[in-house]
Formats: sequence, structure tokens, C-alpha cells
Amino acid sequence: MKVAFALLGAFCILHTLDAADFRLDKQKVKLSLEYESFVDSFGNEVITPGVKGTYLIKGKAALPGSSILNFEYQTGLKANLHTSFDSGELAPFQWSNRLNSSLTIPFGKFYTGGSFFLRNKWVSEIDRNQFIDVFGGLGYRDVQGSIFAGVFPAPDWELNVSLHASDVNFEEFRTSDSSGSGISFRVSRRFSGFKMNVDYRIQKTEYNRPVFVSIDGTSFFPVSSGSFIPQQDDFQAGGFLIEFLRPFYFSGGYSYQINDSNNPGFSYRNHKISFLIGTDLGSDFHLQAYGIAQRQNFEESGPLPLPVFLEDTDYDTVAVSLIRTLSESTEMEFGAQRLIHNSSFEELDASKFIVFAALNYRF
Amino acid sequence: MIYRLLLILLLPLALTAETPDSLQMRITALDQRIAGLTKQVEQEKKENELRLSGPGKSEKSMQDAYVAAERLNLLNSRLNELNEQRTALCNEWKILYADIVDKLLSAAQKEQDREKKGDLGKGLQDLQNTNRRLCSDDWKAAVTQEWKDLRVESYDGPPEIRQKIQLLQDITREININLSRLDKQLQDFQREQKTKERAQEFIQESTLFNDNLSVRRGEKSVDPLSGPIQAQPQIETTASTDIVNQSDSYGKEQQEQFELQYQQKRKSLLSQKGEVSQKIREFEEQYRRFGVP
Repeated sequence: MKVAFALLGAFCILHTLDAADFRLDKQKVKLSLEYESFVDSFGNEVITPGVKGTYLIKGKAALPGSSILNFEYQTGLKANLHTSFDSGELAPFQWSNRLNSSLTIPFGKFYTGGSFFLRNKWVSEIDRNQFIDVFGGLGYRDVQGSIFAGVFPAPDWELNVSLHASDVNFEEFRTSDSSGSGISFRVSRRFSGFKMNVDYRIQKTEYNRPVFVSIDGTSFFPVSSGSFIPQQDDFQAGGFLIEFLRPFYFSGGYSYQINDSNNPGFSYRNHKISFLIGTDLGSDFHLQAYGIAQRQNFEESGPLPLPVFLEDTDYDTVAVSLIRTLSESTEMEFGAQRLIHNSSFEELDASKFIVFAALNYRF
Repeated sequence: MIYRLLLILLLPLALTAETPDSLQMRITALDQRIAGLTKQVEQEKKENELRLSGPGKSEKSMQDAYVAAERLNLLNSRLNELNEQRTALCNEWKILYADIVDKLLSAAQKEQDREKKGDLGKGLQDLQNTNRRLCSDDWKAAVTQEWKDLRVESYDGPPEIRQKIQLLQDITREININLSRLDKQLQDFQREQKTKERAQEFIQESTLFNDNLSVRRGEKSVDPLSGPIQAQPQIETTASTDIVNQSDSYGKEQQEQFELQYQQKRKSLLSQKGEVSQKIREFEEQYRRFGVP
């Protein structure tokens, strides 16, 4: 219901913006046929075909006083065509939404503003769902908001500070509901051939989950002043990101993350490396790929030794797609995605692959 | 494609007179000889100054200085000769250059295919760079804003007016090349932005259903708050889109700035082109007043 209200609100905002200098940058519909693998709670792997439809709309509005509102909304419906397996039932439908909007008010070399992010995923319920899909097969709602301010002290420099708050609710796993707040700093510098960001972020998160200690398979919940102690995490991350457009598009970075939790098993140190590339192979073909590699360590309390060599058990995502332009507005796309998850709890270690063929329509 | 077109354009010229390639070679060879001679002249001058500025000037050194002065005269006259040859070759080059540029510009205007149009634009730019390298003085005269002060004086006769009209036509040509270059820059920028957007779209679409959820599960136990728990997921919903989000606002701003600059530059060039065309029309009218057809 809350999601419906949020979407209705977004729709109303878009209509009121009609009077302002409003511009739709793009709309895109993508229909795809996929083959996706799932792992059930006993470690068995099944592969099922599925169909997916997504819609993307992106636009901006110039408001009085040079303010600019940017918004981007993405929605998608996915259906697994084969859902009954020996190992159990698979959820047949998923509906996913993502709204990202920001309002920027510039004044001279300075700017300020706010952003709003809504993420919602609905997964159809079934009785015998044996598939715990750690890669997104969970229903949840995530709301994030931020206020930010920035300055351009020199033509090629930008400093930005942002205060943010978030609230995450799960459909099933209520103890994982959380709310958090934090602050982030970013320094951007544009060089002749590339751009670089250096950023640092801290966040405090409080969970519904109580602190627990497992001894011989039994969990004990410490109590303080007659109530359970909620899990509290202190997260901080520092890193950099480099982006250039020539000879091909590249955006990649490194981030070192520290999560200190009062709940045993939830503290970790993480090296995160990410990249995104894109290039046109002639006028009709486009290739894009991205990868995220994470070396999480839940045991060590100090920084991980460098350099980082990736292993099969790391928490990795890699995806690649090739687009063939058919006409001004129509494209064919073929792609593959591979996800590997490494958890502090072995039973959640899993991997997944997806291959797809899609028809894209832009308007 | 572009080379084929250039060959077709250049073939008639190759059969009748100098080709751009042969002219380029001759001008470059002349430049080398001029540079060698200039060095020699400088050397002679320096040595002669030493002979004449020494404390005790002997008769022999005076004789040497006289012989060196004669040599310098010869070198200078040879240098002047070479410079004249160079000017003549540059004039020939200018005619050829104008002809090829006009044909390429006309072909670029007619071309519908964006890629082929881009190739033609690239060909024009290469040609313009060669022109700058070979006959830079002509180029400097063309791109400066001095043409704005150009007018037909009361003492100008038909040849002078014709010369000024030709100069204005050269300027129009340069403006057209600059316009073509600007369009090519925009095309390249848009292509780069499109590539970037596609890559960002891909990561957004891929994470719409497959988040980078960081899921952890505890021992099977009884949740004191909501009953049995199977999993205790902890989420990092935007982890995978960080790559996109961190650079997005900056990219948008850059795009807008580029498009704004493009519009301004294009507007300015079109306005200059209009003014030059107007001036050409005025000059031609005055030229016709002399009764020259």
C-alpha cells in the first residue's frame, strides 16, 4: 500500500511538473527471455526459463530559481516459467521498482539539494519455497533520503557533503529490518582525460535483530535492563573512483569497508573493486560489462593484506551484454551474468548464472 | 570511403596539374632548403660580426669580412628566391585546397549517413591541418577577425576588390570547416555519452532483480521478536549501483555544459558566416560597378 502511495505521489509530482520546463530524457521498454539458475536450501541447483519486462523513464524539470529536478523510475515484472522441482517450489513472480530523484538548487559556485530513493521488491508467496535466493529473491522495501551541499572551488574541482538516512523493511525477515543514518564526503577532480572521485562514508545502522550468541547450536540472547539488545553496526568506507570516456567508457574504483557490529558474525572487513565499461563496436554494436569483486573477511579485525587476489569463494558479480541496433528505436540484446556469494554462514554460500536475449524499445 | 572520394576529387587535378601530395612534397622540400639556408646566413652573420668587432682588425680580416658579405648577399638573394617560390607554391596550394574543401563540404552537406558524414568531416579537418602546416600565414589571415574591418577603399580598382572577395571566400570556407568540425565534436561527444548511458543502463537493469544482497543467516533458532527465523538478511541495496551514482550528477552537468557551448559556438560561427556572405555580396556589387562581368 505504501508503495502504491509512493508511486501515486511520483505520478502526481510528474503531472504538476508539466507546467514547469519539463523534459523526458528517455523511456525504454525491455522484454527478455532468460535462463536462470537457483540453488535450494539443500544446495541443489535448478535452471528455469523466465520472461521479464522492464520499463525505464528518465527526465528532468527546470524549476523556478534555476533549480533542477532529476528523476528516474524503473519497474519490472519477472515470471519464472518452470516453478515445480523435486526439491520444492520456486516463487513464480517478482515485481521490482526503483525510483531515484534529486533536487539541486545552485547558487553561484555552490549548490544544495536533496535526494529521495525508493526501492521495492515484491515476491509472490508460495508454501513450499525451498529456494532462498540470496541474490535478490526477497521481498523488501528500502527508502533512503539525503540532503547534500557542494561547491566548485575551482573549475575542475568539486566538494560534496551529504547527510543521509535509510529505512529497510523485509516482507518475511522482520528481524533484518533496519534504519540507519550517516554522512558522506566526496572530492571530485576532473583531469584532461579522466575524472576522479575520492569519497568517505560513515553510517550507523540499528536492526530489529537482537544480539545473539550461539553455543553448541543453541542461541542465547543477552538481556539488558529487561530487554534484548538490538544489533548495532558502525559502517565506514573509503575509496576512489576513476572515470574516462576515451577510447572507451570506463568507470572503476576501489573501496575499503569496515563494519563493526555488536552482534558476533556480523563484523567484517571488505575490499571492494568495481568496474563498468562500455564501447561501441562500429555503429550498430555496443558492448558493455561490469564487475564487482568483494573480498570479505569476517574473522580478522585488522586491514586485509594487499595486493588482493580474487578467489572463487569471494563475493563477485560479473555481467556482459552485446547490443545490436536494429533501428533508431529498436535493439536486440544478448547477455550473461554470473554471481558468486560468500557468506560468513556457509549454508548461504551460493552462485548463480543468468543468460538472456532481449528486445529493447526506446522512445 | 573518404579516401576513395578524395581520390575521385583529386583525379582530374592529378591529370592536369599539381596534386596536393606533390605540392605538399615540394613545399616541404623548399622549407627544408630555406631552413638550411637561414641557418647558414645566421652563421655567416655571426662570424662576420666577430671579425668586425675584434680589437685589432687586420687587413686580412677586413678582406675576409668583405668576401663573407658577398657570400651573404648571394645567400640572401637565394633565400628570397626560395621564399618567392614558396609563395607561388602556396598560391597554387590555396587554389587546390579551396577546390577540394568546397567539394568535400558539398559532399558532407548532401551525405545522409552519419558515419560517412563524420568521415568527411575528419577529412576536412585533416586537410585544414595540412593547410595550416604548409601555408600558415594564409590561414592566420583567414581566421583572424580582421575581415570585419575589410572594406572597399575609394582607390581600389577591380583587381583589388576581386582579391578582397577571394579573401572573404577563403574565410567562409574556414568557417564552414569549423562548423563541420564542431558538428563532428558534438557527434563524438553524443556517441561517448550514449556508450556511457548504455553501460549505466545495463548495470541498473541487471540489478533490478538481482541485488547485491549481503545475506547472512544465523543458527536455526527462535527469534524472540517474530517467531522462527530461517534467514537474517542484511542488505546493501545500492552497492552495485555505486559505480553509476557517484559519477552521474557530474556527467549530467558536463553534458549540459558541452551542449550549451556547442550551441553558442555554432550560433557565433553561423552569424560570422552570414556577415561574411553579406560583405561578399556588397563587394561583388561594387566590383560590378566597374563594368566587369
